[in-house]
Amino acid sequence: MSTLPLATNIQDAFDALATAMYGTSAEPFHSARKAAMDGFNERGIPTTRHEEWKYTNVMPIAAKTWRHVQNVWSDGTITDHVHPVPGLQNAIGIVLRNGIIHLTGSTIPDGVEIMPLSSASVEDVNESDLHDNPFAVAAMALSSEGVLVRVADNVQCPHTIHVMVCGETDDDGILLTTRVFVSAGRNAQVDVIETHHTLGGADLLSLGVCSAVVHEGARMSYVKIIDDASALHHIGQLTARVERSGTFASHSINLNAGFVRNDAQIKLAGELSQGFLYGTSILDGVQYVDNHTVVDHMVPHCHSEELYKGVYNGASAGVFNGKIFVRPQAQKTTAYQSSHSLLLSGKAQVNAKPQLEIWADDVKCSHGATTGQLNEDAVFYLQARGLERSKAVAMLTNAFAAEVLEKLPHGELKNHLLQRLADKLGAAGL
Amino acid sequence: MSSLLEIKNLHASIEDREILKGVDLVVHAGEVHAIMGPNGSGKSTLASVLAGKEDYTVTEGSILLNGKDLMELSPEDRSHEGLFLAFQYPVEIPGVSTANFLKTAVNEHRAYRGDEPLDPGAFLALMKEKMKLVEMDPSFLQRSLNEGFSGGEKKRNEIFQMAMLEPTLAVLDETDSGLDIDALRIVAGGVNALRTPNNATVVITHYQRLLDYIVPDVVHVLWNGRIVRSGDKSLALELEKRGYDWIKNETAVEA
Repeated sequence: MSTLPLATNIQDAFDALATAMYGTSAEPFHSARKAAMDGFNERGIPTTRHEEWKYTNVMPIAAKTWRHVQNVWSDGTITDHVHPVPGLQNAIGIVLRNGIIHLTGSTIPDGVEIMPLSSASVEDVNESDLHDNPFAVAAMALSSEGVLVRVADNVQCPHTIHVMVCGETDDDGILLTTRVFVSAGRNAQVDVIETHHTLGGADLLSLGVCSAVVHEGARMSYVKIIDDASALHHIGQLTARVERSGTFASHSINLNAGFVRNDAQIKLAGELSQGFLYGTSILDGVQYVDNHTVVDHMVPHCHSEELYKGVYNGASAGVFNGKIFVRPQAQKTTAYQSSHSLLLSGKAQVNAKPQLEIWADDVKCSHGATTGQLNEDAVFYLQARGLERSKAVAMLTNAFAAEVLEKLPHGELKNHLLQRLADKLGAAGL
Repeated sequence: MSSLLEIKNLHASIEDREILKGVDLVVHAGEVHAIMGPNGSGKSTLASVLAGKEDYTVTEGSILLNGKDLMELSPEDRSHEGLFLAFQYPVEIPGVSTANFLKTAVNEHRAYRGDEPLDPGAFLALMKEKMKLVEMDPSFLQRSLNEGFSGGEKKRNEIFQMAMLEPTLAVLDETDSGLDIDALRIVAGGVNALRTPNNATVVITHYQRLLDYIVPDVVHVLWNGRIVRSGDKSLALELEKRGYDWIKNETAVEA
């Protein structure tokens, strides 16, 4: 089999990076990246014969040539091309524009550290094992830079941390790799919002890996919004490890995205920890979003909830693959998962696959997946109260999709997204 | 007295199976009619056909509401024209708050009459006033419509909606099912409070029990798709005592 252009691009980018790192290539970061590069070559670019990529064909992406843009940390200021996101004006902004990292917005409060990975210690960014997702592994191999956010013990970070991943392309496609580490110390609290933006019209491939650690009693929310990026091809991996009594919640919101594959993984590693995974996709045209999730109940007395919803119009398509592992010792686990999809067009398509592996016997677990049209009894109920059919359909579609957004902890941002949702459904004639 | 509802020789089918086989019914303003009958006699079908549910096909006959041909109207326009169906199984609608739903419904009714939408303050005050009728807690307004409501709460919510929309003809489909005695009293009290000389109520029920609280002027027995007997409220008491078999037998003899 001939090597796919993307695999060659990744190897070349790594080689260039290794050359540039000459003299420091023996340092621990580099050996970790080298291990990741080997890991990528072992895994290769997945075909649809691979179980985790059964429904998502990446060949059209892999057959193209991509030019890797390297992360550089810069202290200077840049013009912010990104449209301000309502509710995030007071956030601490971390802009990654074509891989160059800048800080903007609010000053960093005491007890919060934001630093380039090159300043971080190996312990800060210690990754015990490589991900299964080959693109996440490639992002680890190619990211000599990235950002580390650390919130000290007992500190409630007063501002949202807003990570803006921006790609600017006018001609050929560029390849961005992003590494984000977030750590919430004991009893700390932090909200992170990651948004993706494309400037210029050309295709962009963005690979991102975010590693989150939620220490004992800490709370972290990680929201990822893709709503300004029709030229974006994004493959992202989010992994959170939650220690005793910690809480981690992730929202994956896709309103305007070309191609997205999101892998979200929560490891409930300490007793009484909780994990929440939420997702909303409102798609039309030929947009594509694949959400793969894993919740790993490693110890007893943990709780997880998962709710993903999608509204698919036009020829858009989606995948939901949700795994729950309950290990033999993880007694008294409660784990609930549901995914619901609304197909508004005959050409739209959804594949949903719940996978529960339960090895403990004293647990409460459930999963449910539905795909279909609106409940006609509900439409009739609203009509019988005097709502025109089109209004009844719009109200129900909006309510269906808004359920997950309603769980967002950010008031103004939530209202903005609910309005975006209503506008988008309105534009679709709903 | 003018007739508010006039059903003539109504035949209706679902999937080619005829359920209603010639129903005749006239309801005047100010009246309460009860429609009773055993399971499967067509009571709920009659309610659904009146409200305009698409699953049913009317093959023969006519329905006039205030002199208007109901068959010509969409379900929403039947509502605008003053028909209200209290559902036997109110649908749970996650994500739509009771307040938001009712605001839309009331303003649709107002728009149909050419009135301006109510301002939010006046609307809230109106809702709070009407909720008292059925002893509903205002916290229900912010909850998703019917979601997680108990059987009694759902039925109270139906009557609350009825109070908000002020229909000229209310059809209560098995509103007593799933109610304990306290809830039954509250629901019936709400219905009675909404009665005026200009509106009418059709109560569909299995049991006489509800009719102790909502006293009917006329009781009809629907059996096998037709109204086979009508009488005053004593007919309901007789049915309670003797069941439906004697009516079935007499009807069979007459036929």
